[in-house]
Amino acid sequence: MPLSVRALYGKNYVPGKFYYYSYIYLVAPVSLLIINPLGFFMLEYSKQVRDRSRSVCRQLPALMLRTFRGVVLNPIIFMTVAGVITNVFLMYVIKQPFPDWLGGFLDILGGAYSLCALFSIGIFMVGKIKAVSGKILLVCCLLIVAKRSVLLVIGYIVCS
Amino acid sequence: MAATIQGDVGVDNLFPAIGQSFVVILIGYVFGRFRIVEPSEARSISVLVGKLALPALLFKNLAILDLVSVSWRFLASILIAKFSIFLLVTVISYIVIRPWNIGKAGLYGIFTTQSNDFALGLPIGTVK
Repeated sequence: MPLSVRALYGKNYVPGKFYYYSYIYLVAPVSLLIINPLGFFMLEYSKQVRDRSRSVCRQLPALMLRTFRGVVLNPIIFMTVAGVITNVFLMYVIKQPFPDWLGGFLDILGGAYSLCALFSIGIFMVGKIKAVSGKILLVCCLLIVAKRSVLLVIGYIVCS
Repeated sequence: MAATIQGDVGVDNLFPAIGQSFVVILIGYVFGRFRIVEPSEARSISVLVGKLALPALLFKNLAILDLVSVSWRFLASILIAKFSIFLLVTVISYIVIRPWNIGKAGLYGIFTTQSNDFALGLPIGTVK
């Protein structure tokens, strides 16, 4: 995976060095960690409300706990946190570089990622193309356009 | 393998990278459409990706990352932008959609902020 930043950076790639591209590792998990649990919590809440409309308030702590557990046990979140902790530990506590044997092993595992991720995107599209009706498509397009433009503007404003 | 470019940022290499990634997606679609791989079996590939490959990739890359060069301000600004969009969309959806449905509002919020960073961004950055 490392050597792949060539598409953007040409030959000047150094593994571990921080490029703008490396932000991808930091932004996505954090948004997964904070924004998605809120959304899932809302979904679960509305599901509970639909099933039994009275005793929802009493179930609130259990609901939150369930959502929280679902988030923390998610392998992506879990490994992100573990990675950062390992980074800090290796760099500041024992001051050793990342072990080669572990790096090689993780490279094998991670190397399958590009192929399998793209392939599964493709294969999940089978049969779904007809299922999307006009109204849903319109909502999706509106959301995407809004997201892109507003995100850009807000990001620009916050950065400057 | 195409000749590598000397020097810096190669936007010329970006479009081939995007194109190549989309060809793989197309291959996936073709495999499913012609039942070379049963779409129901495709779920196991996503398990492999989501529970094995991606966590390993994340762990390694975060563990060797040079944390000192991270501009935390930049990161914070991106996250503030995302979060404010999420709030905006959720609140507006909650107000607009009848009957009152907080679940749908939350869902739309996730739609607008959940970006395909890993699924498309990583493979595109990965192409040589």
